Amino acid sequence: MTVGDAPPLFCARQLRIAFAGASGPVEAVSGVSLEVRSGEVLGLVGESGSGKSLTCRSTIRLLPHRARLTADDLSFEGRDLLALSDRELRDHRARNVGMVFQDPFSCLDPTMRVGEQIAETLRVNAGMDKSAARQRALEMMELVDIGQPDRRYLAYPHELSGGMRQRVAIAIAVSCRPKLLVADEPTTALDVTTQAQILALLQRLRQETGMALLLVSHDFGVIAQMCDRVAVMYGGYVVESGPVTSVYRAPLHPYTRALLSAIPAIESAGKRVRRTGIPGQPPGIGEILTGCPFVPRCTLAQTACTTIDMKLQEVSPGHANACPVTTEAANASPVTAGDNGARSVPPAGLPGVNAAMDVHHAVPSADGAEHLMQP
Amino acid sequence: MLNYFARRAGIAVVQLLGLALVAFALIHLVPGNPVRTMLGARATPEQVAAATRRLGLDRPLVDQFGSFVWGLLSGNPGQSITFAQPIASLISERILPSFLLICYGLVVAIVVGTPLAVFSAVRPGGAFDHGTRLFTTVAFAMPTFWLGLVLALLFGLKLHWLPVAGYTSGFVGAIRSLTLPGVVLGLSLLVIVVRTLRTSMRKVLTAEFVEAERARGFSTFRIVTRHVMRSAVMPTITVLAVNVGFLIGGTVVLEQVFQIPGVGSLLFLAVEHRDYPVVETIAVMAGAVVVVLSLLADLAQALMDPRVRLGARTV
Amino acid sequence: MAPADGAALAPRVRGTRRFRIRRPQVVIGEAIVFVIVLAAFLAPVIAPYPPNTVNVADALAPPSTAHLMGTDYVGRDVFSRVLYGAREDIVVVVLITYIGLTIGVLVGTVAGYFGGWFDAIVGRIADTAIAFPFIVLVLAIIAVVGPGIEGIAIGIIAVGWALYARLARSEMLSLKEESFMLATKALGYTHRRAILRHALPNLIRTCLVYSTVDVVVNLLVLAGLSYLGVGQQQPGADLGSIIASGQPYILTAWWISTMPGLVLVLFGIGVSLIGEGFTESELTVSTL
Ligand SMILES: Nc1ncnc2c1ncn2[C@@H]1O[C@H](COP(=O)(O)OP(=O)(O)OP(=O)(O)O)[C@@H](O)[C@H]1O
Ligand code: SF4
Ligand SMILES: [Mg+2]
Repeated sequence: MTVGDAPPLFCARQLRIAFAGASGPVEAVSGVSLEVRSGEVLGLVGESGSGKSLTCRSTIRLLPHRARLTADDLSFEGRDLLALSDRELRDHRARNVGMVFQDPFSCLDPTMRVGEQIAETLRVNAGMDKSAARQRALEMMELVDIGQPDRRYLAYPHELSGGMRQRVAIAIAVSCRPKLLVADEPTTALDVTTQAQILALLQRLRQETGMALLLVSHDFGVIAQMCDRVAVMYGGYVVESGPVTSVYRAPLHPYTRALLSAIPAIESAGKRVRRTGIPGQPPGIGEILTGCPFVPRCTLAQTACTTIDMKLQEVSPGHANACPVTTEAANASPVTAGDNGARSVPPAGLPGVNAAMDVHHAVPSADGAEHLMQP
Repeated sequence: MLNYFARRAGIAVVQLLGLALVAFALIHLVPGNPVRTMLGARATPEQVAAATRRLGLDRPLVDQFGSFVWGLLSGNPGQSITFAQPIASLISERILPSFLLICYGLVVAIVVGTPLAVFSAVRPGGAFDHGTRLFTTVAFAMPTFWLGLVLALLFGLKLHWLPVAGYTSGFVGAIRSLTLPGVVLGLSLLVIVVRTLRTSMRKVLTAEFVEAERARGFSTFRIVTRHVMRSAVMPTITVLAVNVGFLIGGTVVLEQVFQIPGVGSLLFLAVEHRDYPVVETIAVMAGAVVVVLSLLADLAQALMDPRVRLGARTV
Repeated sequence: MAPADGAALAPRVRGTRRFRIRRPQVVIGEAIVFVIVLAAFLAPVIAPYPPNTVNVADALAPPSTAHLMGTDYVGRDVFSRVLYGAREDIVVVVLITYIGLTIGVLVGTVAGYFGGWFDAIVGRIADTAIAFPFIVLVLAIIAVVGPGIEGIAIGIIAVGWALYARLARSEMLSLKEESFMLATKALGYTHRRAILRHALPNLIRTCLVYSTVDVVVNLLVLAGLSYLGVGQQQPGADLGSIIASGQPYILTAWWISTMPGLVLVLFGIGVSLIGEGFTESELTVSTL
């Protein structure tokens, strides 16, 4: 990755997160290197269990009790997060980094009115008094398109629909004007129409405030639509990262290629689509100890793959790949890098991908974004 | 919501009737002639006949039950045989020390138990958690009467800090005479407070919203006091209300150990003298306290929980 | 088909044999209970003196090698009396607890299995029994049958069954939804077979775990009432009555009341520790 002009907002180098297992520590994240620059949208894709959530949570060091985190560098605006005291860490949370969780119901206190939950965040982090916090909470509710904020302020979480709850969660996350918003699968628990609205809201907030966004999704379509850059995770590693366009047009890592071919080709809204799927199972946590974690499912796997050092190598500006086999092939014949070898590599003209690419920088409207969603 | 209230209250009414029926049945289960048993072998047949008439034991059973229930409801459950006094005045003379003792025990259990539960819930499996477990287990296995005896020996007879027996009215007197039994009572209840509060706190603490609140920069102190306790306290109160029976039982024993003139020691006297009307009345009263308190706890829980209050749950 | 089906249908494992997580506190609890029970049952062999033999010359002797726990106000050996007393208490408590458990589990299981009016009636009776403060009901029963172990036993069983009936009933209700219980219907088993062979083995464990708490509670009630003079009558030895007999001498001969109390506390702690282990290894199993 090129070193940008400004220092990155969030930077992780060789981030490792391990859990105590029955026979010694088990690594769930095994050396992730990642950076989010000021104002950019970074997407994080990968299969379930690949460590996306843990990576996200490391931005505010919010990890399960038993997790052990180590890193060569874990910093926010150059400040070492590992050196923060409890107090400083609490100040860092919400003020610098806001977080939106997957399930908008379980992330709100069921016994407290939603407006008060927004206000409480403001009182804790922005030191507002009761009435100022209330006023600001109402504004925030308006900002995230919650109609009738006066009435909704007094609602309990269970009285709101999933989409409304997620708006509340977003209002909480952005209430203290963080420089980075982390959204960990913010739409997975919602229905299709609401998903599009929430994504449009995130996009709008990002443009209005200029904050950076780290967006996790299973869905490459969403990533393509929302993000500037993307990092693909597999088995606790970032296996490929780069500008969304170049990762899309010329995916290098066999896992990325398989992933892209697994996303449904969207012909038109409403039609049934077929997923190719990636044969085989993702590695169980702690199963593979050396080399590339994709070996059991990779069609290009060689014996050497079990001993390689998982390191991202830049192939083209900003586009890095952790698979030496495909990197070598790409360097040898850059033109054909896109359709080299892997089974069912998406052809450059994949309709879904192109549709996604075309709307990349447009603000998605509710109906416009709808057909990008997975069924 | 109203539906739930009505159903829950209906259950309580059936329970109360059941209590009255059981207490009423007891006197009729006494082998032989209950009046003779009550009055003792020296009573003349005339005395027995008179007492039988006065107690209404010669009337049909349904009549008897009817007037028994009516007596309880109207606050005039009849006359004590041993004390030759209305039962109502006997009980009202002695209710205050018992009530204060129960409150004392509750306060001790809550004041000691809450921090123990909170700190062990925040660090489960830690040294504090284990220590608390051990301490409450020991406190639970400790017979109240024996612990009372040992404490009385230590603080009363050896250190002369507190009275070993008896009850003095007035604020200071009551506090001094109820401290030893109150502490013992509280310790016996401690395990219930700590276990239920710890369990319900664990449940809430592992909920995702707690994680989300950490992400909002809230301190553990704020999360525990403002959010977790809100959800965790109600189940504990319910469990406590249900266990008031346990407290009442403890009071009966401790009043006897510390010779406190309360309802518990009255029950004891009545049992010794086979004063069945008094035994019946106290038994129903004690049961009614438990029934009513658990009813109130359930209703309060329903009222406190917004999901129930707003009719989201139809019970 | 008889032996095979039970094994195939009912997942009897639920921690009974598969997981034996030996935690130190369980081992300690078992050791305490084992030693006390063994000593109590060997009372006739171990006890250095007959429990009720009076020896006034030796009255109120402090603990010594001759009298491990000293002697009481009429010179009876406290250690011997404690051994016999513990034996009596343990036998009574175990009997009444498990009689209550047996009645309650059977009634509750049947009520949960069939539902309907039987369930409703059992439920109301159980509610009523539980609503009485335990000791108050026991005292009321003693008022009827007179002081002694019988009254206590009747009272404890009268309440105890209801707790197990509730527990067994609610377990039964959730078991009823499980596939192996549904299968017993499909396979046309008799109700008796479905309940006894398939449901009981699965729900009994919860009840047994709960009974460890119950044993302690019952022991405390028994000892407490004996201490208060409505339980075991003199000269019979029982831990509660020994403690009561020593109370007047508490300043001069502390050992009479303290020693039996310690045995009581130790036994209670032992049983509780065993119960703790149960629930903890169950927790471990369920989170694995
Ligand atoms: N508290 C925990 N204890 C033990 N292991 C854990 C814990 N939390 C996560 N893990 C492990 O870490 C791995 C990565 O988890 P993570 O939640 O980051 O995955 P993810 O990529 O977000 O998956 P998903 O798409 O399902 O959300 C998982 O395989 C899981 O086994
Ligand atoms: S390193 Fe080998 S196994 Fe891993 S992705 Fe590349 S080719 Fe496949
Ligand atoms: Mg996740």
